[in-house]
Amino acid sequence: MEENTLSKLFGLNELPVAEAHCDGPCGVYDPASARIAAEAVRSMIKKILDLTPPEPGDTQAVASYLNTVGRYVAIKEEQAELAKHELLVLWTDYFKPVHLEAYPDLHEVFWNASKACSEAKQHVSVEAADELMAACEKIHNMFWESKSREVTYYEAS
Amino acid sequence: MIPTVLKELLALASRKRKLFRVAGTSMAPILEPKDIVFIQPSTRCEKGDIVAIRHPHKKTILIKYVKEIDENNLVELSSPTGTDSKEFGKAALKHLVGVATYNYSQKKSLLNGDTFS
Repeated sequence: MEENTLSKLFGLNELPVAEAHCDGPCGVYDPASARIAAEAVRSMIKKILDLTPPEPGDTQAVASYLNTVGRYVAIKEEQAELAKHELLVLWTDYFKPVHLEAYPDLHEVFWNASKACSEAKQHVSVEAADELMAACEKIHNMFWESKSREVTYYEAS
Repeated sequence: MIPTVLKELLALASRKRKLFRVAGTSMAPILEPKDIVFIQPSTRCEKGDIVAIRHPHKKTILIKYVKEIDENNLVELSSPTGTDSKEFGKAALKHLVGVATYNYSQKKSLLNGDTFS
């Protein structure tokens, strides 16, 4: 009996998958992805705060202002969500139970970092962005130490 | 004597087996990617069994060898290559889906003793 026949006979168009591997096959992780997104969030927050609102009567200037704010907010939203995603990938896929022994506050660091991403989305808060960046630095240090590699933390901006 | 494949198909027809398709290479050559395996639903397993069991931290189903079962009913899983319990920890016995009995794609029995030494 062919495999396709077997599937049809037992009403199984798509068999459930049993994973012989457990992680993404590439195994490439780097906290830099989260840090870059977090830096973009901080940059957008600063740019929004630096904008000067135009006079209410200047229709063209108001339209231009709203357009710029809209674009900055959209990028802030997108990058904060990306930072959260990248952090969750590290938290749930790279870090394993064995790492908790070396870093007992690992869960708290990631939880606070994820919360900071949400804060950065909800508000225009430099404090939230700074908290997120501080968490990224902590995660950078834990990550590379867990791989027994010395990689100095840096920021692009 | 009834051939193993026929026994397994009869068991499948009487709902005593589940079918899974293998993904990944960590159990090669016993299980190659895309192989179809027969799983006997069970709440118990033994050292040396190949089992389908829920990942300890994810919603996926793993297929691995049973290396040990400790007193807390936590199953240590192993595989010839790739990641196993050394990396992701032990899986709970209560999350066992079943024991692999037959590799339909390779027409080979997977019962403990036939494949594991």
